[in-house]
Amino acid sequence: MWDIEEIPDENKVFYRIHKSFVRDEKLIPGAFREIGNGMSVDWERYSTPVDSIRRSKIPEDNGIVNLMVGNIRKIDLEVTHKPSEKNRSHSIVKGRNKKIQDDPEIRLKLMQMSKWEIQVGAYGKC
Amino acid sequence: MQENRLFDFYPKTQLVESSYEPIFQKNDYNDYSGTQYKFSENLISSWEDVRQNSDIELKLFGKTFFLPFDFKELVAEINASKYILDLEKGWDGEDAEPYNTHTWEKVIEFLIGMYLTSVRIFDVIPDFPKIYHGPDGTIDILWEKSDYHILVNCPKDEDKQVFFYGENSKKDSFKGSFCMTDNYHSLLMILVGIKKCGI
Repeated sequence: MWDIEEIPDENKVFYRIHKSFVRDEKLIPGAFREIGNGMSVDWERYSTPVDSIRRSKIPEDNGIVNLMVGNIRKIDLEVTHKPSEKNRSHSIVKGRNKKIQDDPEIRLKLMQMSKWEIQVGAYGKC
Repeated sequence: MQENRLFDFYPKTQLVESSYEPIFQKNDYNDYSGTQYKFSENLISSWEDVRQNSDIELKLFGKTFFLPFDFKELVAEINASKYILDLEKGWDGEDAEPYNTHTWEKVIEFLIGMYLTSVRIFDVIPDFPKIYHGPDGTIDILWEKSDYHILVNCPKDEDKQVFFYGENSKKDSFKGSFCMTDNYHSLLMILVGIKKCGI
């Protein structure tokens, strides 16, 4: 099993966006929610955007955005490395006091700071 | 078909000025569905008069809303948002549940009510938002404009709180909450303020 490491503020994490969270070619705030223990992301030290999209059930139905870890922490969210056996990059973003989906401020800011690495539908076309 | 009383909230030709009870004293001005409103008979000459002065007839969930033509963008967005009701179990590629029709209806009624109130009381039509599916069966209303952003999250259960957050290009921010079935003063005042005074 992998060691748990501290993720530096200046690093990025990759977050998978399902096609249902893109309307009129724009990312919508509903994309940001915790499932289970938090919002699953991949740390760029051990993953690329392509690696991340390949881990989804249907890569063609998904896209990948990046988020700067320091910016995430600035809005009172925790970013912690939580590697799994199959995915060393796996990390978790979660709210300190309440879940991401319960705070429109956090969701709006996450949406604003997200930058596309792979647009939804672009995987497999290039 | 039930005809919603909303259509008497936007008389284009006000026949008698100030003939209605001041709404702000009633503390229930966003409830359009009941019969709490006791407007003067003189305000509008007849239902037919209102119908003739309404440009858009929006039929939703067994009700008919008569709206001014100025609301065409809002009506288009309401119609576009019906996609939410078509989301089936697993729509997110995982195990997301379908959305409750009642939740969507309440959000739409709230939005229409708020815009009509704005026109009636402040003579202002705020910018129109986008309506999206939100997390866990909730519905998001998003104003994503060049100089400000507001996200409103409407709960699955109407008796729960609506939460909103907004910020402008000067980095001023505001947040709040209200109950959809109670009042929406705080959000309305922000939207009116932005439209009337700028950010």
